[in-house]
Order: sequence, then C-alpha cells, then structure tokens
Amino acid sequence: MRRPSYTAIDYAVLGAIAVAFGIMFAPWWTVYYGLKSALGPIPAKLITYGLWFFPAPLAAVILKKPLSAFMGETLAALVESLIPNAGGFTNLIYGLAQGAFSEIAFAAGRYKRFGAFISALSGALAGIPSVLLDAVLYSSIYPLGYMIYIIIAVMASGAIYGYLAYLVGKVVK
Amino acid sequence: MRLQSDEAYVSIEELSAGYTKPDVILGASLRVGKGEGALIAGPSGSGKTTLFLAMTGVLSHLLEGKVEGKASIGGLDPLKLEDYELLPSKIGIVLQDPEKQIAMPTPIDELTFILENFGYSREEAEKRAVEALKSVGLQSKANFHVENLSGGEKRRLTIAASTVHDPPILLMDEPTASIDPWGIAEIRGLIRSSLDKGMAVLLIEHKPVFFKDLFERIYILRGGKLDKFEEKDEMSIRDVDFSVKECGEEKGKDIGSGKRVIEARDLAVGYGRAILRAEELEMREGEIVAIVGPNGSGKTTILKTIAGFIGPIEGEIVGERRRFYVPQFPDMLFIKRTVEEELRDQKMDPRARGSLKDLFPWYSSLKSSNPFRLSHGQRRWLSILIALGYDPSVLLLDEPSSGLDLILYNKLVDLLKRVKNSGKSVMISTHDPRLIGDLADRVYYIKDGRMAEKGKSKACSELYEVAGVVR
Amino acid sequence: MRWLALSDKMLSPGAGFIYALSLTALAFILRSEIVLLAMVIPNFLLSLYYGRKKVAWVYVLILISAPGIFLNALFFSNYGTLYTTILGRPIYSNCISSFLIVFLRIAVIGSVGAFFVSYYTPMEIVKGLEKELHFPKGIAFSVAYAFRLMPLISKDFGEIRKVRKQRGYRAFPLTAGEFMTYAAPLLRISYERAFWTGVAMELRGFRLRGKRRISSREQARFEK
Repeated sequence: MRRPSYTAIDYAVLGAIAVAFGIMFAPWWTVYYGLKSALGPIPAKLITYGLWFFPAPLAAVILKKPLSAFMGETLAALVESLIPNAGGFTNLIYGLAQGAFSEIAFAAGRYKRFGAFISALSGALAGIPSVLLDAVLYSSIYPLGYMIYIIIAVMASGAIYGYLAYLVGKVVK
Repeated sequence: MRLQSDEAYVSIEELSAGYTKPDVILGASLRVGKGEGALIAGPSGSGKTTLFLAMTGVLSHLLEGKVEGKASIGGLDPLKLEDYELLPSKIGIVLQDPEKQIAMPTPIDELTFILENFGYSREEAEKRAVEALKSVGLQSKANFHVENLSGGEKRRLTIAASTVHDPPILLMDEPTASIDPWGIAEIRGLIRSSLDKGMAVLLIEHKPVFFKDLFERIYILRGGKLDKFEEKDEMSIRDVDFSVKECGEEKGKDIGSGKRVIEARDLAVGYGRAILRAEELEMREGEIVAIVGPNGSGKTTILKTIAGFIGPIEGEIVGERRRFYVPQFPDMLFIKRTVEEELRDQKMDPRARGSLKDLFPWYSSLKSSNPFRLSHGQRRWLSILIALGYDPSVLLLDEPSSGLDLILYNKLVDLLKRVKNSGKSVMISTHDPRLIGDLADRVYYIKDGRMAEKGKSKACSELYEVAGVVR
Repeated sequence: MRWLALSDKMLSPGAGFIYALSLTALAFILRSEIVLLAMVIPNFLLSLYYGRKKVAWVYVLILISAPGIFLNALFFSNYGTLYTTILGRPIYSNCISSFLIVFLRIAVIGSVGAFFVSYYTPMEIVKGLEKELHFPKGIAFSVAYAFRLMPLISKDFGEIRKVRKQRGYRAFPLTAGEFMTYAAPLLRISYERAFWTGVAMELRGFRLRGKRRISSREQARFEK
C-alpha cells in the first residue's frame, strides 16, 4: 500500500498558500479594528477572526493528504513569523495549535472526506485553541458568559471561512 | 567534456499515457541519441505536455497517472520509482514560463540549491553557480531578488539552471509559450550549444516555426499519436504554426483619419523608477495599435498607466476617458459565479451588455459554468467580452494571443476586427509577430527603454530576425 | 566574496530562531512588568538599528493597539486599590497593572519578532532552519519559495484590486463573500505557478537533496 508522501509540488503549493494568505491577511487587521470600533468586538471577531484559520482547510482540500491541514496552517504561520508584522512569533505558536485542531476534523473523516462540512468543522475547531491562547496572552479573564460568546463567535467565524476555503479550493485546482 | 554515448539518449517505445486511463498519448515511439535533436510539434490539446510528464515519470509518480509502454532516459527507466529519483542527474529541463520554474529568491540561491540537491558541498556549489551565472551574464545580479530581474534575465536564469549540473540530455517543454523573440533567440542558442556538446536534445513546441531549422527529426503529435513529419505535409497542417506569416504593408489602411483618442508627449512610465520613455504616443478612433517589445520592457506598465492604474512618472495622457484594461491573466477579472452572471453584470453599460452573449461562441453549453472552469482560450475570450460590456472607447489588451492555439487565434483576430469596425480603438501589447501583420494599424516598438513608432512590416521582420528565424 | 556564508553574524540564524521563539513563548506567561520591560528594550533598539523603516511601522501598530488594551483592562480588570480618576471614572491599580502587563507582552513579542526579521536575511533564515535546526527539506523549501513569491503575489493582489475598481466594485473585500472573489483568482494563479515550480524542482533533484554527497572523483569528472 502506497503511503502518500509529500512531493516538491505539495511543498511549493503550501508555500504559495502561505504567501497568498499572508498578503491578503495583512490589510485585514485594519478591517478588524474598523469593525471593532463600529460594531464591537464580538461582531468584529465573527466577521474577521476566521480568516486566520483559512489556510488549513484550504491546504487539505487541495492536497488531500494526511497532515495537509496542519502543514498548511503551520507553514502559513511560519512565513508570517518571518516577515515584519506585529504578531511576530506568536503567529507560529497560534498556527501550530490551530493547525493541530484543524487537522482533527480531517483525521476524523479518515482523510477520505474533503467536503464542505468537514472544511467548516476544521475551521470551527481551530477557534478553540485560539481563544484559549488569547485568554492567556491578554490575561483576559472574562466572565464566563462573555467567554462563551467569544468562543461561539470565533468558532462560527472559523466555520464560515472553512467553508469558503472549500469553495476556493474547488476552483483552484 | 566527454559524454558516454549510452548516457546521452532518450527513447520511448509504444508509450501510452493519461491521467485516469492511458488515453491521451497513444503508442508513441521515438529515439534521440548523442548529439541529436528531435522536435515534437502539435496543436493545443494534443497532449504534448502529457507526453513530457509521462516520459519523465512525473505523470506516474507525482500525478497518479496511468502510463504503459517503455521509456528510457540516459539509461534510466523513469517509470520505475528508483530510477525516477535518479533521473534529475541525467536531464536538464526548461519549462514554459520562468515565473513557473524559479523557486528561490535570488539567482545564486537558485543555482546553488540545485547543485546541493546533487550533493555538491556548499563551497563547490557556490563556485559552479557563479561560473554558470557568468556564462549567462547574470553574475552582477547574483544577489538580486528574482522579481527585480527583467523577463529576459529570468529566462537566462532558467537556461543556466537547466545545465548547471552538466546533464547529458536536455528536455524542453514549450519554452516559448510565454516568451518573446528575444527569448527565442536565447533558447536557440542553448539548443545549438547543447547539440555541439554532444547532448541529446528534445524540444516540445507549439510554435515550431522558430526552431525547425535546428532539428533533423521532427515529429508531430496529433490526437495522441506521434508521427514523423515530412516537408510535404506542411501544407496540410492547418492547426500548427509551421510557417512564417507575411508581415503586411508598411502602414495600416485606416491610419491618419479619425480623432485622437489617446495622446501623450514626453511620457515616462514605471513604478517609482522610469523604465520606459516615449516621446510621443497617439492613437486614433477605430485604430488598432500594437506595443511591441521584450518581456519586462514596460509594455504592461504603459498599458496600466494609460488605464489609470498607475500614474505616469513624467508627462500626461489625454484623450477619451473610457478606457478598460484586460490583464494578462484573465482570471483576475472574474467576479461572478457563472459565465451568465458575468455577461450581464449590472455595473456594465446596459446597451453593450445585451449583445455579449452572442459574441461568446460556447454560451449555450457554458453559461452556467464557473468562469474559472473554462479553458485558457475561453477565459481569455470571456475577459475581452467583459471589457466590451463596459463599452469603453479604448480597449487595452495585454498579450491577448498568449496561450491561444491557431484556431482561437484566428477567432481572436476576427473579434478584434469587429470591435475596431464598431468604432472602438484597441491597444495591444504583444510580442507575437502575427498580430502585427494581421491586425495592427500602427506599431510602437520598444528598444532600450525607449518606445517609438515603427513601420508594420519593419517591426514584424525585426521580431522574426531577433528570434533567428530563417525566412 | 562569500555569497552565502551561513552567517558571519554573532548569533547564527538557528540560534536566533530559538531565541525569538522562546522569548515569545515566555511573554505569554510572564507577569512582571520589570522583566517584560527589560526584554523589550534591547530588542527594540536592535530592531530599529538593523531594520529602520521596515520595522518602525510594527511599533506604530503596537501603539495603536494600546487604547484597545486599556479599554479592555478598564472593563474587565478594574479593581484593587484606587489609583486615579479619569473623566470622573475611578481607575484602580489592577486595571493599570493589567494594562501594562498585556501591553508589555505585546511589545516583547513585537520587538523580538522585529529584531529577528531585521537582523537576518530571508535566505539566512532558511539555511538556518535547514542546516542548523534540521527542519525537513520540504519545509525549508516551502519557506524559501514563499520568499521568492512574495513580491510576485503582492503585485498580483494589487492588480486584482485595481481591476475590481475598474469594474466598478470596491477595491477591498469587506465581507467574507467578497473575500472569496479576491482569494479565488489569486490562489488559482499562485497554484499554477507552484505546481509547475514543484514539477521543475522534482526534475531538478529535490528528492536527492540531503541524500548524497558528490565524491571528489565525480566532481573531477565534470572538470573539462
């Protein structure tokens, strides 16, 4: 039985996804801040946070190999850490965690299913470590009720962008 | 350099290959030996690239394709995984587009990376890389980021990368698909010097007119079958470019009348730094103007400046305001989910919008398709129609004929003639000599950073000459 | 002239990577304003020395985020002993310390990241990952390729935005749906490039990388 290994094509595609994502993401911060002042943090998170999780389901839908979600997210994160930006190496830390959680969704599908639902699920799952890391970093000891809203908003955002990643992945190949 | 004769050869026997079934290439056979060259020509869709991918083992090992038959390159069997992994040391490759081949940020990185793959130590790799860069004139730009190289320099880098490890065999898959006569001259040089060295050279091309004099063995790939090509067949081939086009008269027939729709004096364009200057530039109503020059000479930049995407560095452009730029990658233009939605976009001019679907030959079958799913030629077609939907007075097309096979090319010429006859003006950036002969009323030729008007047939002949074609 | 000295720098890229990663991880958990400040200052100075304008805007961003952090601290951590009042609203000590801790954490992360990217060139980083930290060759290749692509994709993105404007649409995506119309062509074009570059790299010996060393006899064979 042939174990699918990663070829130079796969690595090149992962690199391209990382850059494309990084270029699109950079101005997104401004959108987030703008929306946050207009609508408040929860709607702002709902609309924009999920973009962070986009590379994982996208890479999985395109490469369709085990660990591609994890690699997609981690490589995008690694590239983000290596260019001047405010997040620095937190990108890498978040990316590793988000990638791992995103991968769970595809592992649960036994790496045979790469459809819309699983992509959305993978995006949603990545929200969990993100909110937890945020809580640690920002010492955000919010009241439990508020915390629940944040987690729901972020996971919902992740699901939206996970679904979008599936749609984009379909036309890319 | 002494090459063993058993190393420098390529042979395939009854090779059939395809992506899900071996049905794209059907029983192809050929053999090229030491110091010999073979040219494989064929129309679009005949499977030329599939053949290349199949014989190198890429189709079997990377793309899960199906390959039957035998292949042997440099004594290795690429269809076997162990040999496929060793194959790179025997072959040098040049692919379609430098943008799709260069992997590292700088020229020196690119060459040392390749040499390190073959096990050269860092010091040795560096040494050989610098030598190779010297041989293509890039040593002064060794540490430049690749994006700061001109198109010609990128091409030279890929040429250096193909032979930096001294392989006995050279394989090229459509190296001219998006390059210009200047690049063609360099590829011809590479072919000649490789044959002289005793290498085996295999070239797969869809514009064989530029190379046929260099090869004794010419094959034609049609419908998956590979056959030897005879001179007497030339006349019967309608879908492959074997012959050089006539360049037409000195000036187009419709020049000089009509009002000026674009006018500029003492223009300099570029991003920050001026890369192209023109003392004067003008276009009149109902004219087709061609801007001709090597890749990276500023053709796209000047079109974008006229379109208003960037401001001119010096001078200003006056004339009709309604200008629409169609980028080289048609994909960039698409916004909607289906072809139908694109062609009736609300933001277009209502009158112009109505007739668009009649101009799209595949409308009935493709109207619910996602624009990204269309073939290259169809996407290019769609992008031009979208532009027409905005009813511009000036249409700016960036390399419209690139990637089109002969049939679509002829259709394009007809479409643009109709556009011109409807009173619009069209400015085309191109390095395709055929477009000059078939369409242009006026030609602006770029040389050494300056653009000046040139006679049609002079420009056309010069392009063929630069490419080194015997006419 | 050595084109590719792995690094003639005092701190090799691999070590620098570990340094930056460790400091960033520490920033998540440290609570002492003094320690955090001590971490910020040298990185801040070094990054400006090596990076200048390239990294200055990172600090602008950090400053811009300060009011947001303060408001957060005000809403959720405003307790402890009374410190001062602003506009009639009492500010307690915990609010201030909470703000300072988070702000300094962000500053540490930003400054050490800024130092790292300004001190090393992209290829030094890639070499450091591959040769010193023994990252898999594929990952190192991805990162190198990412550096090669950056200006190219940046140009493409700019072009897509201008073309959108030409068609009468907004030049920047604000909703998720609009985002998709930007992402699709950008990724499609990038994918095609990546695919063929991957094929080219395979045929240029990527699989052999790290597996063999050319013997001096073989090297001599190529000498004319």
